[in-house]
Amino acid sequence: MAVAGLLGQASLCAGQMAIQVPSLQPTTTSSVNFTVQDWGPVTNSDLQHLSSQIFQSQQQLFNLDVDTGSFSRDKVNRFQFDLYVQKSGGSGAEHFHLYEDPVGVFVDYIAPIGISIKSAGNVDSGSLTGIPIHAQYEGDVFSRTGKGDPIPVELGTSSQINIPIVSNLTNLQASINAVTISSTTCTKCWQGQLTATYDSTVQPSGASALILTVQPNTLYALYASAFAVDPHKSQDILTVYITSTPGQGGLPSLPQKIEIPVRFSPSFLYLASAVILGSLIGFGIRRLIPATAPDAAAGTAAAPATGRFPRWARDLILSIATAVIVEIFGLVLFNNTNTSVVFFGFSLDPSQVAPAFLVAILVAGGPPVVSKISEAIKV
Amino acid sequence: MQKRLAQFFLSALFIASAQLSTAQKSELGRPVAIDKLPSGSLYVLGAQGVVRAVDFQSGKAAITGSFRLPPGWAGSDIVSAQVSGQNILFIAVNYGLTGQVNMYSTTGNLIRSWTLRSGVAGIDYDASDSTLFVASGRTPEIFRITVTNGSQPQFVAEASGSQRLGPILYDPNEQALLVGDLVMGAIYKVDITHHSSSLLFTELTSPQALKLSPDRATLFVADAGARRIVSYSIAQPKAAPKVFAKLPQFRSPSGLAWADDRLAVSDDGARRLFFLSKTGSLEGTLPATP
Repeated sequence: MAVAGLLGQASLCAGQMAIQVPSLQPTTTSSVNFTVQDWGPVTNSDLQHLSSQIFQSQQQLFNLDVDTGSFSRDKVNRFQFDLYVQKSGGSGAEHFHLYEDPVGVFVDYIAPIGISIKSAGNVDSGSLTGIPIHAQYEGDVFSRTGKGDPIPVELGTSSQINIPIVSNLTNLQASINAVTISSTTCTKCWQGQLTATYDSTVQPSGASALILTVQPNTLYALYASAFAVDPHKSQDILTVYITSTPGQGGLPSLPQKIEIPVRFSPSFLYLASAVILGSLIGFGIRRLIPATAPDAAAGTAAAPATGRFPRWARDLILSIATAVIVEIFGLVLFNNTNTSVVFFGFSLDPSQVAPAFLVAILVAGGPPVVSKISEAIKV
Repeated sequence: MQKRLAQFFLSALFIASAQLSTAQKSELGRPVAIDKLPSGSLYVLGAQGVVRAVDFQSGKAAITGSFRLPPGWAGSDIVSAQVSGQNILFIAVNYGLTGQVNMYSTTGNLIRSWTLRSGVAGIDYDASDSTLFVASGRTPEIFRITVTNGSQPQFVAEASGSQRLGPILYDPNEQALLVGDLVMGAIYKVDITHHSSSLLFTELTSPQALKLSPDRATLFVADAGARRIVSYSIAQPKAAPKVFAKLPQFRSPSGLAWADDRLAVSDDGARRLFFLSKTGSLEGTLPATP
């Protein structure tokens, strides 16, 4: 009777020979039972055509011959293989067929399985090593390595993102069948197809990488980044789905999801434009704000304009220059010490267009603009 | 125009003959299921997704054609039928955890597909109602697909207590489904009307295929674990099964089909077809036994 699931171990008594295969427990929440069928006696010539992996039982009463060429799936997708048990010094062998019945989620691996054999009063046990243990519901075949910080993606150009991954299969190869990528929060932020290149085979516990080729849609990406100014938060999340198949008869996995947070980083041109535009606006606002009494007094007391440029032009150049210097200083600090610009209690990333624009307005506008904004916020 | 037509027919003839000659040379592979059209070939589905047509030439069985399913599809079951006057093959396959039932022409053209998320273990076709019945691969569920209106699989019933469904058979007399359980070694009867199930036959090891006799009075079961074909009387469900055939050459009987007056048995382990007489004696094999 080849009922394994109920007993926790598969046992089969066929004619003169009986074998038992205890179940395995890959994890605390999963198990693999074995169903054994006896396929009858075979001759020595039948054994010659096998891809044999031969073991001896502990007391050397039996030879255990695993046909690695028989590692396959049956009609209901159970992993199956053939085992031939031969009495030492005897002729021919008994042909057994084993099915794996996995329960729960785990990652495929190669393991030894125990076996006990009883034949004509002789009892012996042995171990079959190198048997692939395959899950029906595969755990995560890959893990992403490295930090999970948002990855910068330059605007205005096509760029490649390198995602290092490592295989969680400790002693089986993994074949990557397909990789698909989609945007989680801003599908319009990307131009064309998001594609990935990768090595289709990953060695056991081996490192590999997915190289994503992406091209941001600048206008949408700028819009998305305008409202996500916190330097530690992503502006979009790319979801990468990996479908893979463990080696030696594993089932193609359901797509495994890996999330890649990204931040759009504008090019120098975009930043410079934002700073100059911000400076002009800040300067304009300052000119429009009516001068207070102390300021007016200071203005009249100030020295008359001299030199080639009128006073307003010198003020404008000074405002732009100050905004540029502050932006450069902010970028240097941010890139080297990860220090962000704090604006009215909000942490801003100076390498983004919106914060650079805001900072330029404030710097070029000077105290009148800052105090005006402060008053407005207080209201 | 006529020249082009002639060229087309000549190239079609060339391709067909090339395919036929290749198929004749090829081996049977690992046959996991078989079925026969009432007036047509016997079709054998291989585990690796190859479908082979077998015909009898001067009384001897021979492979007369084949086609291959897409790579990675693992064959599960095959049923032949006539749909709108056309000979059709319904082929159930598994790809990873997903099951698929595909409607093919007998020349290997894919006509339609249905996807089943929990895999496929077995299929059968009710010609009177143009309905396919599907046993799920990983759940005890049974689904119905109405072939003509293009519907998606619909849940019919659950075989309560089943551990792993296998073959499925529609019994037109009883208007019920018979479903094998590979782990429990049992056959369930599923009432389609009342969506209920009950245990019908036991004392099996691993039923891999079910077939009714032409008069529908006897159920034949390929019992792979015991390497035998057994029969049950439908009218006497409590009676013990009779051993119809237990050949020493059997390894893992996987499919059953009536080929004229003979019961054809596919054997996954033996990589052969066995042809049995009405009394269960061996009349021939494919490939022929040396």
